Amino acid sequence: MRPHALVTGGAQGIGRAVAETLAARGWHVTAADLDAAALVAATRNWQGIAPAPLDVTDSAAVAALVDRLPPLDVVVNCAGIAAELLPLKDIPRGSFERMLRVNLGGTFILAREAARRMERGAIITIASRGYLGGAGAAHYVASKAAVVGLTRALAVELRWRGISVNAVAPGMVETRMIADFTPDMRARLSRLDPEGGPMPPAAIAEAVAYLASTEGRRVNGQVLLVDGGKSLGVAPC
Amino acid sequence: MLSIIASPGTLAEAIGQIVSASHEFAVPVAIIDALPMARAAPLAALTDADFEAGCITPLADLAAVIAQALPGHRHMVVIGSSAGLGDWDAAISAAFAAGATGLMRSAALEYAGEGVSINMIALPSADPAQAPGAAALAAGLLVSGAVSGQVIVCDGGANLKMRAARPRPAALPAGG
Repeated sequence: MRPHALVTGGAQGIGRAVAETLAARGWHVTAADLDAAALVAATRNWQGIAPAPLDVTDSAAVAALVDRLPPLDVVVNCAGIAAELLPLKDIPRGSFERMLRVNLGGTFILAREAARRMERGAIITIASRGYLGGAGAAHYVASKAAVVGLTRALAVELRWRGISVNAVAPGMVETRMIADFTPDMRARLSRLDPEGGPMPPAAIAEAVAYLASTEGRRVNGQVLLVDGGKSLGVAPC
Repeated sequence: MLSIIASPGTLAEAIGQIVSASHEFAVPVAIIDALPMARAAPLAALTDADFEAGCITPLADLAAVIAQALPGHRHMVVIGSSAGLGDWDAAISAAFAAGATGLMRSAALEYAGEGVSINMIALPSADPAQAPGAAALAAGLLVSGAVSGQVIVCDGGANLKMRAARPRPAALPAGG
């Protein structure tokens, strides 16, 4: 039987690349996304991928979706948001909480609802190189660092059930998340990046596909940084 | 000029009182409580309300506290938790603890090069017996900006013992 993966944020960016990479390898994929229009547009080119509109912060909706799907082998939470760069003291509380509810809460809810129903398999979270720290993005950094902490705790807790839990931490990737960067900012970040600029989402999808594979599930509780090595020299926390 | 930003009776407050009684500081410094308060329970038993109360609200609160303390306080020590390294029944406290680390790191980066420092002492529990050891370390971190953005796990090396290890259930099939 074909393995089944649920990928959130699946209509665009890294999530879409994950869905398409797994489908190309014979997986049955359910691609969930908040953006129904993007989902419809993406579906036109898809084979073996079933679309599912979903708000990852709505736990009842996540539970209902997982209930009606065939049994899951792998879940990948790619749904996430960024926000404009602001010093910590200028970030409004509402913006902070929203970042945590989507990036961290969405990961928590999906992991919980999947773990309640999965027999064995893998839960893969998407952190960010930014989890190691970033000026002007304390809310984003806190949300992604918290995803790493959650990943480690779940890896400890779920391993005796045959479920591995790992995080992939991408560097700069060509997605809608960086579409708002000004040309100046993009050039500045690209100069500092060992890759010379944003990498394609498929690079992250390959790392996810490895962790989703039978052999890759022997890895547990780890953060796989896919960033060209920009993070070298920063102690993980 | 030590500000103790912690509720009375907490471990962070006890650490602050020891530091306050034994050290004087030439510039404003602060000790900030960021020990998790979350309910310990298996993932499947945790509710959305547990998550909101144990992680989202306290992380947003901590961000506001750190933002307000900066940069008037020149050196800060956050009393955090080593739960972020991973532990049993600790999904929410691990997320909060690691998120607090991210906040601390970002604050350190925003003020790097300005002589402002912020670090975290990560404790394995809220046991008050840890106060004297953590206080000595905190006092050292509060005297200069030489160390910033670091997490120092203060557990006597217990984390090296793979403390999250537990015997594998006999009933589990191979490869699981």
